[in-house]
Amino acid sequence: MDDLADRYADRAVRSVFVYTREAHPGEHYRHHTSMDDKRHHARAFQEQFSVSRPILLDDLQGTAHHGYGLLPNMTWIVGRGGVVQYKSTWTNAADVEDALKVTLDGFERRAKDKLMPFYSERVAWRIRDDDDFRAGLERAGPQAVTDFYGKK
Amino acid sequence: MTDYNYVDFDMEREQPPFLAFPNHLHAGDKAPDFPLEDLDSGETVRMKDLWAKGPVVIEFGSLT
Repeated sequence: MDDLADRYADRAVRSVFVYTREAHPGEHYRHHTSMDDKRHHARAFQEQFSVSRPILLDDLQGTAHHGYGLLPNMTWIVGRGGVVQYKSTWTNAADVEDALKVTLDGFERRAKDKLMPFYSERVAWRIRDDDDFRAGLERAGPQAVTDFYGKK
Repeated sequence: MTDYNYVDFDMEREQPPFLAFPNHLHAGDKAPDFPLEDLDSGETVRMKDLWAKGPVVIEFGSLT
């Protein structure tokens, strides 16, 4: 997603990461009990994944997270002026780029080519990467692995 | 607050938001505006300022 952000930055597209609660808290990264916890984990995330997009912290109660649907790794595209263009339960860079192209193309050509918006909805597909997902849980700590896969 | 920042992941608790998501807020709707805190500067950023000059891609997530 950072790569996508870089490639579209010159077309006046902003890209941000909103930091929520911990989806899979574990011994290494516990649930947040203060904004300092949240800042600390967000900095660890920024460093470990070399995140170049601005990281914006939601409040401790998750007000923005609730407002946008509370899913652990969703992506939204909002057009200039504040109308939702795209919402996705999961973040998939290829799917986001596909939608972003449609958004940019529409906004750029709508006056010249007399374009009208229409509503469209679809189900997208992603590769299920269990190894990568499990590695993420292990990074959080043994508890996060047990909570997800159950006690063996 | 403790409900939101849960101590342990629970699959059953996670399902309702996924089921509700399709009907939550649609493409074409006005995006809600909330204040957020910029991690690097510590300053408050309003979401409506993000889309003031062009489109914005907003990913939500956490380290875990």
